[in-house]
Amino acid sequence: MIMQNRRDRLDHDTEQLLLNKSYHQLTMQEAQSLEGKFSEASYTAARKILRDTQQMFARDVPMPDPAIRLHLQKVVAQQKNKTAVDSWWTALLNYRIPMWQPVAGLSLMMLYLVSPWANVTTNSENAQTIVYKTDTVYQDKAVFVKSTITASTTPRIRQANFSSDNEDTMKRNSVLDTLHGVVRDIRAFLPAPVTELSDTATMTNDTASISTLIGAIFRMEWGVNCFSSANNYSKSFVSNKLINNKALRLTTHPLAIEKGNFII
Amino acid sequence: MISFLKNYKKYSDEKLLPLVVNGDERAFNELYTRYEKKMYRFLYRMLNRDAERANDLLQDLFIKIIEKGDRFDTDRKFSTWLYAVAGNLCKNEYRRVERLTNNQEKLIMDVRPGAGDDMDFYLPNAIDRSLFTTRLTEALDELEAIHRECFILRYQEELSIKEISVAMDCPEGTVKSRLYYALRKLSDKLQIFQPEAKKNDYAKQTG
Repeated sequence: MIMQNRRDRLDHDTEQLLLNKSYHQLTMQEAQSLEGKFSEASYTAARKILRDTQQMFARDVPMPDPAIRLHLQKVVAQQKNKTAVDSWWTALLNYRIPMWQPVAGLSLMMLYLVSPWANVTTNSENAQTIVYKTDTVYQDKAVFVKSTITASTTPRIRQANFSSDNEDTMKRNSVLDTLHGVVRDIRAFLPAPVTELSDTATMTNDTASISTLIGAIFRMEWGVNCFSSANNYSKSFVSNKLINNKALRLTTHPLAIEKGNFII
Repeated sequence: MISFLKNYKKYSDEKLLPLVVNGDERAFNELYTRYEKKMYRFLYRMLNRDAERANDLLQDLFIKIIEKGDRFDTDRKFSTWLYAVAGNLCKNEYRRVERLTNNQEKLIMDVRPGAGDDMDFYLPNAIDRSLFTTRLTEALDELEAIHRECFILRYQEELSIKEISVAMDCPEGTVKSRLYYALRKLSDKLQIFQPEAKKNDYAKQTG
């Protein structure tokens, strides 16, 4: 197959032989290289054609019309004017940017964006929170707790925030003592732990916190466990406890009355 | 003033081309001088020795260079690119003429003086050099366009096989093959001048 392809080609060596040597001048090796491609007669004919063609081409040199040069010179002059007008646009459109420049630029930009010193501003400050009806919103409320305040330091505060009346103060303390006793007793009967009445709350005379805690204890922890399941027992228990533990005093104080009414 | 000091004769073709595109007349004159005869001769042969059409195409060729020279791929050699553009112009011309006459053979016959079937009339008694040359020229005109172009580029313009492959945009093996077939066809057509060379000698040899 390769031989077949080579036979169909006029390679350089064969061409040089045709141009430079007659068939009789060929060496044995050269003649063998032509086997299958040229016979003696066809070699001689091809040689004559090639040589005569070259001579003819060398001899027969046609000349172009001189007017063409003059015409083309005018075209070049026009091109000069045209080039001057279009040079700006051409320069802009044909401007080629080396590949490394945009790559380097992008790399630097990416490096800057991911770097820790990049001051990236977002519009989160201006963003408005939209709450839908179906959303569950969790809110944290700050509770001021002075856990380090001891009982010895609190009288001045209690007196300041509460009534300055001694009798009133005594009533309040007795109410609180009663409540503490009630809570302790309740805790002893309940399977689940009951929320402690915060010492801090009582010390600071935080009536709102006291009210909330007592409400939570009786309404939920104790009420659910005791009132719902053993209603009668619980009621009598509470009543007895209240009576035995200064229940009368409890009811005399506005706060106690409120809680007492609720309880009973 | 400075431009007069430039010696464009030392400039390469590739260096002159941008100057020509920018309207430098001296650069154009230098480039045109280098290639006008070569390109005209090539076009003249490719167009079956029609001088008028060869002049037209020569002008078209250089107008293309002046106006579209910026499209030249600087990695290529200018001369091979020029031959490629000229070859394409010839192909366009063939198509145009073919459309007009609807028969390319008719064109060939029309532009070829004294050629035709009556050639046999001369052969037995007129085997002289001038007649052979005349017949050779005519046989060359009768070759297929691609074979003729290849043959002219090789033996008239003396381009290397590699340069021809670039100009004709084909592999070197194809160029060698086209040269071989061009030579074989010429031998067939001129077989009358070589009675000892049998008509089907090549066909037998190539099997």
